[in-house]
Amino acid sequence: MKKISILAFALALIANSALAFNNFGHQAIASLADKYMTDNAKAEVKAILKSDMIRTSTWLNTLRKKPGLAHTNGWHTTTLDANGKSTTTAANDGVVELEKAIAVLRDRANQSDSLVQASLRTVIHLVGDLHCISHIYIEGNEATKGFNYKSWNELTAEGKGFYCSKTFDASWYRLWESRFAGRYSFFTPQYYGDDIDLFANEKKAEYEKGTPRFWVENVGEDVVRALETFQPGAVVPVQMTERQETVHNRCMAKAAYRLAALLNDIFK
Amino acid sequence: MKTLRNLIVLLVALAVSQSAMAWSLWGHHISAYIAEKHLTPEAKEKCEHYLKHNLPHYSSWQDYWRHSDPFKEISYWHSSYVNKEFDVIGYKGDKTRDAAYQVARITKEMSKGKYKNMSDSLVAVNLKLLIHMVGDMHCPSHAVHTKDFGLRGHSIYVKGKKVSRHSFWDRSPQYMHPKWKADRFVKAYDTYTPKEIKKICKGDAYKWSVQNGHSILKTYEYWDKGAEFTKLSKEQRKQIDETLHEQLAFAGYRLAATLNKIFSK
Repeated sequence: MKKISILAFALALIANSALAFNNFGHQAIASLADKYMTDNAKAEVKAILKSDMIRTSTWLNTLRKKPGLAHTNGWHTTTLDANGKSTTTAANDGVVELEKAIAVLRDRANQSDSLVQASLRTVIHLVGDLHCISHIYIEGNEATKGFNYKSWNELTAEGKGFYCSKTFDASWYRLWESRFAGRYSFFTPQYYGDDIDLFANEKKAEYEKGTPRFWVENVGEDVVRALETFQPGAVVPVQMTERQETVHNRCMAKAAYRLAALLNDIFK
Repeated sequence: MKTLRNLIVLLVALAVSQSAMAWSLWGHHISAYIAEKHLTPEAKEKCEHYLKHNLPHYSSWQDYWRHSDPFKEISYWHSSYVNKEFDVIGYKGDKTRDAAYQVARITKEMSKGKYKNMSDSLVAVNLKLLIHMVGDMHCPSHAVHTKDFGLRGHSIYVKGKKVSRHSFWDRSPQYMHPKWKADRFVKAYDTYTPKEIKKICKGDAYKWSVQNGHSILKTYEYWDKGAEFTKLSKEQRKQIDETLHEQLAFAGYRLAATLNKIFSK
């Protein structure tokens, strides 16, 4: 029993340090952002990265695995206060690190090339991560840090667990990180990026406004709404789960629009 | 005893669920992706208008939603059943519980501009059903030969794990080409000429179902009892791939033809 508890605890730790959007999701966000970047921003980004945005978008996930860089695990998430406001100043919090990286980019003339490159890579990844519902924690709301619930029917692009069954354990993390994006990993990031570009003619300009703190508060509102349906141990009918794809896609699209707007502003 | 009973219930549940899955995500994505490339500009524009997404996005919608209360009936619309006289007869003789029947019904109800009299949400649901059902009825495990054929396909082992014939065909794109992505499949399978495509799309869903019934008869002979997939001969693998090629391409072309017909001016 003790061994099982230790195993469960270890699994929970792994789950909590999981990727935000899976790598494919990050690539799709980067692809869609690229679509809305100015020529000038694209040229500067390319010169700094010496690569393209799509490839770079998952760099921060590889960094965390390197010796001495485990503290960057915290960068992938942010914590809102109990009122849903982003007031944190804690080191290694996602929004704090994002602000630092943006500041470096704005002051790039006085910074080393390597720091500018690392900061740009960080911005590209974190704008995505901080739009993933399972990466927004709210003080006093333990459920935001991840839990299992019961669901119906799974289907993944990898073909694992493809059959339907009445109920099974599902994870809050997996729901937002890979359940929906995973279905599209059979395609190119560009194809998926175009598919989530749902607000180009209506709300894009509205979504682009604000600062990273406003953005994470905005995602926090979606977190609170989603937790009205998903709670530890709850049995969630498949239609309720499927309806979350709209929320998931909207978050991804917002991330892409905001990333493009931010980079267009930095490199104007 | 209770444990044994629970185990039996679980196995039956798995069998039932697997029997209704048809193509996995990959197969549906491939056929919908091929279809998208063969839509007329009018049909493409209308599909985008009603669905707000591309065709592959909804290609497995019917699988995801089949367990929700309002859509339980659609669980019976994933296969098409032909008897030995090659008549489409539906699940246990109920002709409405048949993918070909439902494709024909929806096509008829929406064609000649009649979709304009439907609510946007009904048009969207009908499109999602068509995208899935046209794909499903071309899956060798969902073009069903009724019992009077006396056919019994063999299971196959994949790396030592027993996989039913049904399940194998559902997931055959992954088994055959695990490293391929959508573009690679479409490049390999979307190979028919416009003249051939016209011929492939001739007729209606019933005719397509009967053709599928004929064309997949040969698949029962592809491997013997106890065969291991990884040890199949080149010729056997070629047979499987040719069937995949044909069934997925035909499904894509016929889906495009269906949507083009519905949204023709």
